Amino acid sequence: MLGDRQGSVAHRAVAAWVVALVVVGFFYVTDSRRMAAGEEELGRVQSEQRRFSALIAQKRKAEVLRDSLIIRAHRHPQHRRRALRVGPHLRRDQSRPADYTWLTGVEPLAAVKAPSGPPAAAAAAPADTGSAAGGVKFAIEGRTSDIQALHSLPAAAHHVALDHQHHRGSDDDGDRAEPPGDGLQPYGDLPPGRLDVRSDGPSAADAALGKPHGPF
Amino acid sequence: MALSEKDKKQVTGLVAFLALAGAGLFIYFIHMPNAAKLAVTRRQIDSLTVQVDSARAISPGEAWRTSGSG
Repeated sequence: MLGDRQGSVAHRAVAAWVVALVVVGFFYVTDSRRMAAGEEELGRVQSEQRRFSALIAQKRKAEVLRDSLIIRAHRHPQHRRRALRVGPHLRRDQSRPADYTWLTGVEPLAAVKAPSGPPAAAAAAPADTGSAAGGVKFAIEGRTSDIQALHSLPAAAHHVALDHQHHRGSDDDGDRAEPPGDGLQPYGDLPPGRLDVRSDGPSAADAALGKPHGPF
Repeated sequence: MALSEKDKKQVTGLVAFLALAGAGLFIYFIHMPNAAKLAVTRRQIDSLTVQVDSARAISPGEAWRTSGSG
């Protein structure tokens, strides 16, 4: 009888230790896993944030400007009209990376025929090389947030065909450039100085976001 | 020296108390700071994710194509 009571008390002590060790082990294992997963995710998000830091800073700057404008408009009625005038432009500018124009490809097309002239001069000019008489025709592909920036291109690049294509979320792998010709309309011969804007309708991303259709 | 029955019960109770107290101390000094740190990390992740998603939502612009000769 006495031995049974002693054994029961000892069992309770052992059970307390077992419970304590189980609880400690459970918390230790789960904490370690969650901390490791959280730190790994934090590192991944921080690396992405570093990639987009310039864009985020630009967006924040635009937001600060917009907010200060709105505050001024509320404080001073004379600024309200100006804010109403500027606000939509700010919101539009916020939705795009300002001052971004970059090239995605340059490819030679064909040699330009020499201008008609005296037969001797035409015969002297080579037909398939980039000389002063003939020259090389080339195509440049790129992306821009501001179509006006295209006017700063060299005068030789005076044929512009614009294909209104947005590629949201396509840069998950960090590669924003696309293969040449992907998503672009085939280039056609346009008269010099003509700006041709082609638009086949709003993209799915634009439609989902309710953005107005149009490249400008 | 033989312990009396009462002493044995007290010793056993003390051992059990030490086990539970150790578990409590572990939870208070290890688990709770870890949980707080994890909450801070989670808030940082959420904040950075919002920033990255807003940056990703910005359109990379329109594709354009031009040509010339020279």
